[in-house]
Amino acid sequence: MAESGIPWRRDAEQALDEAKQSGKRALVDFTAAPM
Amino acid sequence: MYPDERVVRLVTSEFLAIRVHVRDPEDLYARMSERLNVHWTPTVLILDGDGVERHRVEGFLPVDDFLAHLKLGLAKSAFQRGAFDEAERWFREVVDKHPQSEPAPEAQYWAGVARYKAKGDANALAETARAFTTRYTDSAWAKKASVWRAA
Repeated sequence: MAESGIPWRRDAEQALDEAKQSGKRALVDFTAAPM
Repeated sequence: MYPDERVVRLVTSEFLAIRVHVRDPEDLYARMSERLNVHWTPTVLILDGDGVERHRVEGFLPVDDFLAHLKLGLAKSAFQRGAFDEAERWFREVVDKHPQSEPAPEAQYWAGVARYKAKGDANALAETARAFTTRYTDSAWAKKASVWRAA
């Protein structure tokens, strides 16, 4: 999903695991903003 | 914050961007908020390559402050893995590009520490203490740096 130009991952648990495996920094945005 | 092009560029270039919405299906928000100890929205976490939290922003911020916090998080992440030159660059970018932002005094402090760690040069601390006599003089970080004036 690329709203606002950022390719947000919505599969948070899988994405976090992938970030750890690849050694990539992650930004996790917890939000209640309108979807 | 996120529609701003500068934020988009920084987030896209430096992070795997993950969004968790309070209304995500299948209790994803509940699981993730428990896993990462999050109790409010908006909350933004910066995790390093090992999955360890290095910085947290709770509550809405204007763009300039948000950018400064993202860079502070990048700096802390670099600092923690011993990449002190990189850490100093990010800390100084906070001060230089976002001088009025809330994290700027903290960044000025840690820029001096990062340089000291990188070069082993105590002058870096003394220079930082001097910098606090003209900038961010009333901040808590100025008090912390004051001990270095005689370094």
